[in-house]
Amino acid sequence: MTAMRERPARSDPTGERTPRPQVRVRGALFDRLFVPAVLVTLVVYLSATNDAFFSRINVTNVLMQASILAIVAFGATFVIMAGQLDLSMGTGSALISVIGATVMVDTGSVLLGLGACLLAGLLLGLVNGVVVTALHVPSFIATLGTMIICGGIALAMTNGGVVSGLPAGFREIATLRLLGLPVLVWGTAAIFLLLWWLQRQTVFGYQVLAVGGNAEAARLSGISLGRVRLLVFVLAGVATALAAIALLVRVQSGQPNANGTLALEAIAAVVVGGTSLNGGRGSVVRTLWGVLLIAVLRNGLDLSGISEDYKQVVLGTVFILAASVDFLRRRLVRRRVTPSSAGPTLSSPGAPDTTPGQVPAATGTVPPSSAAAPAR
Amino acid sequence: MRTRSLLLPRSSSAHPLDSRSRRGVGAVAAAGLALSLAACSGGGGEASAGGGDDPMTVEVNVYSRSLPYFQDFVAGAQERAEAEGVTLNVTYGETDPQLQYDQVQNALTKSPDGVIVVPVDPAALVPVFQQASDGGLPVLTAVNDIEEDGWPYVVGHVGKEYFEVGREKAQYIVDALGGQGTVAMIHGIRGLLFSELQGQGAMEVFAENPGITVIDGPYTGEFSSDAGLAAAENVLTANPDVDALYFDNDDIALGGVLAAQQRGIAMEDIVIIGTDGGEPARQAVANGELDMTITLCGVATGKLAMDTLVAFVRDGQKPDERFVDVPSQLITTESYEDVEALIAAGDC
Repeated sequence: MTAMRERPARSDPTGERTPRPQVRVRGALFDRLFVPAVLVTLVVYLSATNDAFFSRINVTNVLMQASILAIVAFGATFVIMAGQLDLSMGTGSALISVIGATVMVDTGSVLLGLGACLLAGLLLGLVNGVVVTALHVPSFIATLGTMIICGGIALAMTNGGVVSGLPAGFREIATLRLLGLPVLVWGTAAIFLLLWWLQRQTVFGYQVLAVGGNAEAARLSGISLGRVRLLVFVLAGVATALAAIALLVRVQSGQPNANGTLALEAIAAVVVGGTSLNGGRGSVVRTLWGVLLIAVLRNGLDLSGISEDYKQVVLGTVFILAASVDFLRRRLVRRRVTPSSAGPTLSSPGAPDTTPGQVPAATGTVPPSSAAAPAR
Repeated sequence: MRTRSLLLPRSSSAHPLDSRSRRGVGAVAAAGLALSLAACSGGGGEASAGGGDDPMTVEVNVYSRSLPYFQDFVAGAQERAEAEGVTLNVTYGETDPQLQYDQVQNALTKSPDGVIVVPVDPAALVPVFQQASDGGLPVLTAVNDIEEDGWPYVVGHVGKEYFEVGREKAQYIVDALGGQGTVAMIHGIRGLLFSELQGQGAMEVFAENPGITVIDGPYTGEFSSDAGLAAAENVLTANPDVDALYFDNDDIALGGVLAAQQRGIAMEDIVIIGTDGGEPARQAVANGELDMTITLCGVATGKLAMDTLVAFVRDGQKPDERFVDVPSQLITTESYEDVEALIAAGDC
């Protein structure tokens, strides 16, 4: 496993990690702890000002309300780390919830319904991935297309109405509680752990970061760009299917109009958590913090009862502030470094694990970027 | 008829394709259109005076595809259109005023015998209606009313006042609570007339009843049960002693039912109401989960809209009042079966 882990490090040709370990640690710490610190502050503030907030039932509610966003955002993290976007996850999950509910209602079988969901998710991911890798359509446009298509199919299947009347067995599973927490929260936690493992402990996880950080370097080190990009979209498709199942668990019905803005919220959660929208840097742990921050903020704003219009202002402001930490971190690092040491290595201000995307061409181990081959 | 087909290519070729100067080009196109319509409207009138067997084309532009209510509306209109030998072309504005503006303008260039529009925005379409009116092309609005300065340009309006719907719903809650209690209002989409006008109507009734405390709750942002569930969970957490939950739509109201059930609140201890009366909501009323929903009778509204327009185009008969009121139906456990029968018969 260690040998596998070193692979992307070799593909990172900067070779400049030794000169400034101190700076790296400080910058990384600030970067890593910023969103959790904001989250903790927010939780403390809300607990102090609102009796209802830290109640058992509300904590459960926040976790439930966060679950669908979390599942989608975890999947989106891989897509974004690979330097792509997936906009189809919102309407995709609405469509898949309709498909799953329809299959369950028609066949009376919960398993067939869940199988249909996963199959549809795989298919959606494959379509996105093939369009991006084989047809070379930018992912923004490709997934915008499938987003619109999914919305259309969901409406065509339902005329806009919900699909209700799921088998009683599904309701029983959905309302199950383990150790006091709903099964949906456990399921979300399991998905998180699985994807965390995938990101940290497998070659694939490192390849995703390598491809997103510097596609050319990744290609030269033997990574198949097309394969990695296809796989992240398939992963996102499966996450979309799991979010659809979560939606079914939550409301016991297929919802063609649900999750209209979910894909954008997921991207926001990923970026707020600290994953770079440019690709090459990030983690699902960061996304977890981003999701929790958004969910707690939403819940707190609802509990506080402030006007809807100002809620939107607050939410948008927090998105911007949280995402701007990346810039602040760079400033912080640059200030600490510039006076103390000098040399060409300083042209790359980021810590090595954070910005392989900014590999300076001057290091000479990579061909100049003008030689960049098409994505293959 | 011949003049019409001769003029058609000219007006359609002037149609704005260039979005940079859409409004300007649109105005030019509309002016050309108005001329062409004025030129041919006389002939069209004479031809249609012959009676019911004259082929007639009606363009219908509907608010959105995403709500079952509008599918019912189209189905009702379609049914009457078939009975009257009218060809119907349906387009959907998809809640986008700009898109609808373009769609209605495109529909006018086809020189139909009449247009039925369910406006997305109360003001945006008024200039297009004026152009149609100048060209002698009858426009009928349905479901969502337009602002007063547009009234002279339309044949009339077929629908139900959302403000009144809100009042009716609030009165139901006041009666159910015996005039004493706490009501939480959970709205759908901010700025949507359907949500806002119902809310204002309801608020007026609650204000008339001093025993009622109102918690003006959040907007869910979309009409889905999951959004309704999350909003209701938070409202119930912040205000555990709520006696009634008001929703402006059934999809979010069904989320409210789930939220109450998950909190262990007995369904008879809380009043939950919505609007629309679709199949799942009626089922929830029959099950005693949803206390009341109100259906605005989409099929009946579609039929009435088509009949009103056909009567005007064929016989020049304007509706007696500008606002043609469509009866709505309260669906409760008592009235549930009667309304089911009405719906099955296509009368609602």
